[in-house]
Amino acid sequence: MKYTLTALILLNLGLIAFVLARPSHLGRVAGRVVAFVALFLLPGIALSRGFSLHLEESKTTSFCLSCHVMTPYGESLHVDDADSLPAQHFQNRRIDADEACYSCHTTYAMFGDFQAKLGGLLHLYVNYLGTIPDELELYRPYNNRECLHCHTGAKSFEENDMHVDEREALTANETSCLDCHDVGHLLGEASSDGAGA
Amino acid sequence: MSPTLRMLAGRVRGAATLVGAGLIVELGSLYWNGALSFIVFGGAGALLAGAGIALYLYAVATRA
Repeated sequence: MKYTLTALILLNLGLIAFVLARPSHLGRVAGRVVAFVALFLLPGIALSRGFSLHLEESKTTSFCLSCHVMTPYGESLHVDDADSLPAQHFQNRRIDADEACYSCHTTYAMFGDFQAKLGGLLHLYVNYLGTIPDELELYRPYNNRECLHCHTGAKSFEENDMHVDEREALTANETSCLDCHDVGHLLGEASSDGAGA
Repeated sequence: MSPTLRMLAGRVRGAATLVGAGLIVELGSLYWNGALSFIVFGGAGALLAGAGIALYLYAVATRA
């Protein structure tokens, strides 16, 4: 999609160059059509496609890790520790490696994407114009819904005795997954051979 | 070129310059993999191109 959009923009720039070079053509129908396509139709398409492309790009792991403050979190995905859930999810491809952060830190609910994007804009503001806190914290307690989005229906989850006993409480978010599973990122413990997601 | 057409051409040239600048910024932001690229796209590219489109529509609507 990026290359298609690039071709569209280049075509648009070519038409704009024509409009700039031959303004007298605006007196003709063909010239007006070219101006309409170059200054309304194609830019409109290019902007809407560019916007959706940037939104998709903002889900990528490399996008999240492009801010320096996130580097330790990226490195924590490479920790050689079987108890580190973020690392195990990433290293065993239980989540899409290209959308590792987004997979666990979005909200799987109506308007969840929108909420995540608003949060991202706030992160950008804090990163570039605000004061980055010494210790990063989630805005609200981690909701089981984000775990159950993938784990519901999985045999290893459904047939686990603890999960069977607590299933209703887990679904209602009354018992947190984090009560038993330590999901926190292990910061500053990345192995030297795999650091830098 | 009639005065009306000359005025229209002037505004369309301005619109074309704005849209072109916006598209160039958008093109650059597409190949810049970083959190700032989204801000540059929205804050500069889309703003410039949007202003150009608005100026073009204004020029067409008021050309008579």
